[in-house]
Amino acid sequence: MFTKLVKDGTATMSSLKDARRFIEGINTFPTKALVLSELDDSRMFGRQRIQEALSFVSDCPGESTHYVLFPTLEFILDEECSRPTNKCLRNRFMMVIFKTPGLIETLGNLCIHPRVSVEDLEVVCRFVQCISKLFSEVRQSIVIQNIAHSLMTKGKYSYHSCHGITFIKSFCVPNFDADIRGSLPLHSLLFPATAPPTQHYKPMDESKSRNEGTNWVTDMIEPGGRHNNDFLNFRDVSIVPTLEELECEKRPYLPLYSGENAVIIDKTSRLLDSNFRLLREDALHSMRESLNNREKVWQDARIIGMYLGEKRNDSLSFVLQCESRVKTKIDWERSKAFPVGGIIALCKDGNPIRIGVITIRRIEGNWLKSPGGPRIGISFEEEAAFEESFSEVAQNCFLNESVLNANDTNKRKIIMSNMEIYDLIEISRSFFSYRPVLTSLQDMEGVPFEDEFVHCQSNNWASYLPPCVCLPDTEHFKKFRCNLSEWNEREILSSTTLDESQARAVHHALTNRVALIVGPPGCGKSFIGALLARIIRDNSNESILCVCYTNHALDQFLEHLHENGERKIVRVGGRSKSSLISKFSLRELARTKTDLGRDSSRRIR
Amino acid sequence: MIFSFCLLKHSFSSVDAELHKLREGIERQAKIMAQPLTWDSPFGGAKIILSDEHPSFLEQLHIASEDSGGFQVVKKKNQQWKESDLWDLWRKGRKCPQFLQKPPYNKHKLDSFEFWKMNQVERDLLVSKLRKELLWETRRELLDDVGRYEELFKEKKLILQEKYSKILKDAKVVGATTTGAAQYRELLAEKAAGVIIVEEAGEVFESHVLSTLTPRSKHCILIGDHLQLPPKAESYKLTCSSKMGYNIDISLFERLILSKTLPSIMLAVQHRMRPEISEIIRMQTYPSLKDHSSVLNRPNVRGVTHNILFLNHHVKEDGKQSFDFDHQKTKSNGYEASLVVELARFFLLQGCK
Repeated sequence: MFTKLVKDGTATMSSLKDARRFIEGINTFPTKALVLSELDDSRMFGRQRIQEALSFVSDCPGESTHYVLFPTLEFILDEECSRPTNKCLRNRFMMVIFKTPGLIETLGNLCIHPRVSVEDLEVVCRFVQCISKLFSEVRQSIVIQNIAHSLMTKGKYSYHSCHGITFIKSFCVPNFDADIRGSLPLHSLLFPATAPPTQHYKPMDESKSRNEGTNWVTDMIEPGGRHNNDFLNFRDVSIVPTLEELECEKRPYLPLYSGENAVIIDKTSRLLDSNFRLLREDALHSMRESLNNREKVWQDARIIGMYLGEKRNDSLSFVLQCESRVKTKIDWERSKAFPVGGIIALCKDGNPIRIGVITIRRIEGNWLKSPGGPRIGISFEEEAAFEESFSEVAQNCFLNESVLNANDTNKRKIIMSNMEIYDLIEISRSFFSYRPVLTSLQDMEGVPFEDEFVHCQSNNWASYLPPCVCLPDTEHFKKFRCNLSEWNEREILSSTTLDESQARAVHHALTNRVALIVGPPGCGKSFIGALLARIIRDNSNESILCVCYTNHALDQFLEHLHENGERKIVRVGGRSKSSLISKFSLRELARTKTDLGRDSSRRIR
Repeated sequence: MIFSFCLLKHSFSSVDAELHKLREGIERQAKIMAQPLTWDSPFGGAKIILSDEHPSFLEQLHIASEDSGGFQVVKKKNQQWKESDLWDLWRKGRKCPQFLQKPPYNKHKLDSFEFWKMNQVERDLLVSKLRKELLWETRRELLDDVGRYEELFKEKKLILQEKYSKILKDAKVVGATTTGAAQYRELLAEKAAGVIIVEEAGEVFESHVLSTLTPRSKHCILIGDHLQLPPKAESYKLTCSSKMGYNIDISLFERLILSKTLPSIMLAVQHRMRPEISEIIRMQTYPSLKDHSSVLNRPNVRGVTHNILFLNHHVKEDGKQSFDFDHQKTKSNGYEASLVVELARFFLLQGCK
């Protein structure tokens, strides 16, 4: 039935029964991935059929929801579907479901139906959560915000056990708090931007406003509406700044450390929001400055072509060439100019008109050392900028040849005056390091360790560890077994070489879910870190992620563990200076592993 | 398991194949877009676009047919003149050939027309304008293909990650710098390590720590020193010292310690500095710092009268510009550099290692 309906365009789904059989067909496949690719195939009718089947779903719980709606949602939310391989397909498929005419409205009515069960609500909840995380279009949909609201109230009054509902609000309605706003009419929830602020701003005390009193006033205007990338919900903000944003003269909304100008009442969402906004402003501030100062301007920048890459892993970019600087020779190997992920602006007649992200920085070949002037690869985030650049390519790539061949400066000038020529400014060289963190914050569903990180309260144990842990089998620790709940400091001091503060630090770290260890210089911070890693490794099955600020500290930490016999190490990210640890870098491991696989199969043949 | 692996390969190769096809298509179209405009290519070439959009120009290249006098002007070797030949001449920047200026060819008083009077640059520009008009349709198609290419490319990237995630799955200890962790966050989120140890936690922005956590994190150990360097912010107005109240350079570590509601432990015994040195930081920052026995009774540094020495000089930076255009703001002080070199040489000669 399933295959027939998917493959045959003339077959019809005439009743709920057919829809039910169609959906049941999904489970006959050995893997979920296979179903996804069947449904997504544009030569067949999968997408259409799913929408057809879902159109039979009715407002009240019953056969249609039980056999058609929920199995579909459960299928799409299955863990297998969210693996990297299937993610793209799944996301497309989610959008197909979302766009089924009338379905979302039905879903909304279903949520407030008295007979709907907790389990079913949870599925709806997960679906709404997942899809609103992915698409801002969904987040801004009024019906979805409505559903979020009814899920919230349900979660609050009748379904305390309904797990995960609390997360939804952080996606859809950022400044929504059921305690305060529950009594307000619904429409104010649906349009958060116009919702009246419930928190009263306290007048600033003298001591604080002393320095720049005026800023505080604009800071208090809540986010949204200043420019085309200013939104109340930080998840709607596009990470790469828009031109309008960088040129906007109004001060951005920035949350204060004290929380005085907070627009989000829920503390968890507020933590994510303020981290996002502050970190992004840290990057944007210097970008605004360099856009205004224009210290280093590269002249005669022009888009001369498109590049799909020699390596098959290159994404599509525009090739940009600028003037050759004959006077100052640039040592491209050492220079940090034009890093991949850096941001540039193209200016015409002194006005910036386009913001681009650098995608290719190559020295050899026809790139930075190109005789006619350095060339780089860039991409544009804004669609209009992309289209404009695209239409310039055809003209410029042709004229550029004549420019390069022209020996006479006058002649060159005349040709150039008819090409689209810009001034190029590098406005950020460090943006590549901000971008993934910002994306990650937008992606977070909540804050782990909420008690500690948000409310600064601690009563949580590291419960996965056994009550009695064994220290490493070395001359310093002699396989000492210590009981975490009945800690005997004297005993541990006499049988190991730890000093008193170190012993207490170990105990503190092993018993608290969030542990804080302060180490003045030379007190053995990294020693304790490595020791803890080893103890946790020996006494549990958990894997450990170690994060350091510098490459050097990370290498040291991993070398320490390697010395102690740990071999299941992976180092993520490139720049290891240690020859020992660089063998364990993810890229290196991936290379050697697949090579081995291929080689052995060839040898067998 | 085997099956799912096959499937992975299958979907990878199908994505890859489609990407390849698109690439070829885009390259082909791009080549067309880059082609010089000739009389009859691409897509009918100048002939078509002139007759569609600029008929007055086309007339300038028109060669009257035989009936207008029974004569034909021929090129060398008795070949007949064609319109494409005229186009080529025009392209090369030549003047209007003599015969075109005489009857019966000069029906339209050629001299009064701009077409043949254009200089080379103007001709180049006209050609590029014609190309643009001619290739409008191709451009549209290409744009669509490019959109699809980008989409597929993202998909392929995700699939490639699968390989990495298999390797990570077996790992027990995963190390990353904060930047690395952010860059590979999707992979690390899938790995979902239960324990997170953050070293140098006082130097890391709160956002960086938050972004490494997953809902499956069970244990978080932050090791650092909030009295040493804070996270390095680029914007001064966001830092604590600007007193604007944003305090971006308060790390998560510092914030939790400052809250005073969470317990923390301070390591108390230092194993690095001889007591004379540790005394300085003890006075300033760490009153409770103790010295480990191993740092006591170290021999005196050879060749100098004190084990701690502050060296002051008044020679200013020499304002030499760096040869690299990137670092024009960095200062240099040749005097200080040679002082340090000599000092190091001095200590080596004293037998210090």
